[in-house]
Amino acid sequence: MTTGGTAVWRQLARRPAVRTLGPFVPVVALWWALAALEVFPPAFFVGPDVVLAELAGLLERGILPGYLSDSLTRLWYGVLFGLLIGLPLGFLIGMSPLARRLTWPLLLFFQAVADIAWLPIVIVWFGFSLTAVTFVIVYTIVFPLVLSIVAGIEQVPQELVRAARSLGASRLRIFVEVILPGALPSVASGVRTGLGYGWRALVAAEIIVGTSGIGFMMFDARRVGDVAEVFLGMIVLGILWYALDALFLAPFERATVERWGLVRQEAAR
Amino acid sequence: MTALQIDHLHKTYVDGYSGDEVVAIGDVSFAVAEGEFVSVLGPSGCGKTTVLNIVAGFVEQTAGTVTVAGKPVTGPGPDRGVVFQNHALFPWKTVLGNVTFGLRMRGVPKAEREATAAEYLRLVGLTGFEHRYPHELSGGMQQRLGVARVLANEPAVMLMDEPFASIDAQTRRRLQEDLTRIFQERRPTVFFVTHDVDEAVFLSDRVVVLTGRPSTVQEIVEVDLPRPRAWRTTGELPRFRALCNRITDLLVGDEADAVADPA
Repeated sequence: MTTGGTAVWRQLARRPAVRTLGPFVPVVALWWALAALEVFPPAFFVGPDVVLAELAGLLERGILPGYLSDSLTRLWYGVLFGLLIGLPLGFLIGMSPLARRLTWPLLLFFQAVADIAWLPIVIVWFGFSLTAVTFVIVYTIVFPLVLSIVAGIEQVPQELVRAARSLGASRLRIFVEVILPGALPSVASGVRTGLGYGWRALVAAEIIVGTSGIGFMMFDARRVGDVAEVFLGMIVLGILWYALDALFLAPFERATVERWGLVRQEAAR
Repeated sequence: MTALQIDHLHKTYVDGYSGDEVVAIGDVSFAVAEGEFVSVLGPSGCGKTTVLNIVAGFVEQTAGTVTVAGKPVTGPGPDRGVVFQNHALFPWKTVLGNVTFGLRMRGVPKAEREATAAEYLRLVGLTGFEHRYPHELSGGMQQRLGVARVLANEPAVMLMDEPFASIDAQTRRRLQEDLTRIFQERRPTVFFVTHDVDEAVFLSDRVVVLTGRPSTVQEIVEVDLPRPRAWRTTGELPRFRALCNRITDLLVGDEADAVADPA
C-alpha cells in the first residue's frame, strides 16, 4: 500500500464512528454471508436484513420501545437501590475492622448464592412484580460493589494516609481527601462489574418472571419460533450496554482515574 | 533553641515469621537545633528509617522520648512534615492542590493559601505547573513538589526519608543543590535520613552516624564546610573528601566489627 493510502486509513481510523462501528463490519459481513449461503436452515438462523425488517415492525407497533422502557426502568431502580446500599456498605466494611470481621463470612456466603437462585423465593414473596426483579438486580450489584470497595480501600497506599496525617488532616478529612479518591479506581470497576451482572440478572429475571421487557420479548419469541426477534433482542442488549458504558461509565473514568494517572489510559480511545 | 530532641530511643518488635523479638533501635539520643540540617546515616537495615517513623509519629517506640518544639510526640502532626522516598503525592490533586493541602487542613483562608503556594512553588522552581497532575511531572519535579508541600505548611521540622534514593544520579545532584539552596534561603529545621555518605556531608551541618542493628549513635560528625554549597565547589574541597572518608571509615569499621563479632 502507498504511504498516501496508509494516511487515508489512519485518518479514517481516527473517526469515532469508524472506531466504534469498524470492528462490527467483519462480524456483520460474516453473519450476512452465513445467512445468505444458508449454512444453517433459515428457520434457525436469519440474516441482518430479516432482523432489520423485524426491528422496523416492532418499532412500528410500539412493542420494542415499550419493552425497552420497561427493562430500563427496572434496571434504573435496581441500580439506584444497588448503589444506595452498596456504596455506604462497602465503605463501612472497608473502613471498620469490626464491621468487616462481623460481615465478611456473611458476604462470602451470600455472594455464593447466585442471584438467579433467589428468584424462586423472591417470586413467592413479591409475586411476578417489579419488586421481584428489582430485588434480584440490587442483590447482584451490591456484592461485587462491596467487595471491590473493600479491596480498593486496602489498595490506597499507606504512605498517602501518612502524608495526609503529617500535613494535619483529621480522620474525616483523610477519608474524604485520600481514601475516597484513592479507592475510586476499584469503586469504578466495582460499579462496572455490578452493572454488568445486574444487566444480565435483569434479562434472566425477565425471562423467568416475564410479563414484559427485552428478556421476556426474546423468550416469548422463542416460544412462537420467531428467530428474528430473538436475534434482535440479543443485539439490543449489546447496544444498550455499549451505550450505558459510553454515556456514563467511560466519561466518568476519563474525568477521574484516567486524568489522575491511576490507571493506564485506554489505547482504543 | 532545640527543635527536635530524641532521648534514649529504643524499639523492639516481634518478627512476624519467626516470632522472635528483634531489637531495631538499641539506644539513640541526639538533638537538632532550630534551623539546623542534621542527617542520620547508617548501614542499610540499621533502623534509621524507623527512627524517622517514630519521630513522624507513624510508629510507636518501645522506650525513650521524642520531643518537638518542647512537646512530646504522640502521633503524626503538622509540626513534622514528611518528604517520602516515593514522593507520596496525592495523584488526584493538582500541583496546587498538593501544595495547599496542609494549609487547607489547618483552615487557612483561600487567598492566603494561594499566596503561600505561589511562594513555595517559586522556591522549588515549579511556577507555571500549578494545574498539572503529579503523574505529568518528572521524578525530580515530583520530589521538589514533595518538599514544597511540606515547607508550605511551615512545620517545626521537615523529615526527609531518603528522598532522592529512587532518582537517577544526575537529577539527584541537582536536587541536592536545590535543597541546599532552599535551606540556605529559608533555614528550615531538617532531619534527613540517607545511606549516601557524600549526600549527607554535602547537605548537613551535622551527621549522626549510627551503628548496625541494634543501632546506637556511633559518632556525631560536625560538617564545618562553608555555605552556600555546590558540587562544583564544595565537592572539590579537601575538607569535604576528608569528612566523607572519615564517615566511610566509621561505617566500614562498624561492619568489620560486626563480621569479627557476629553476636
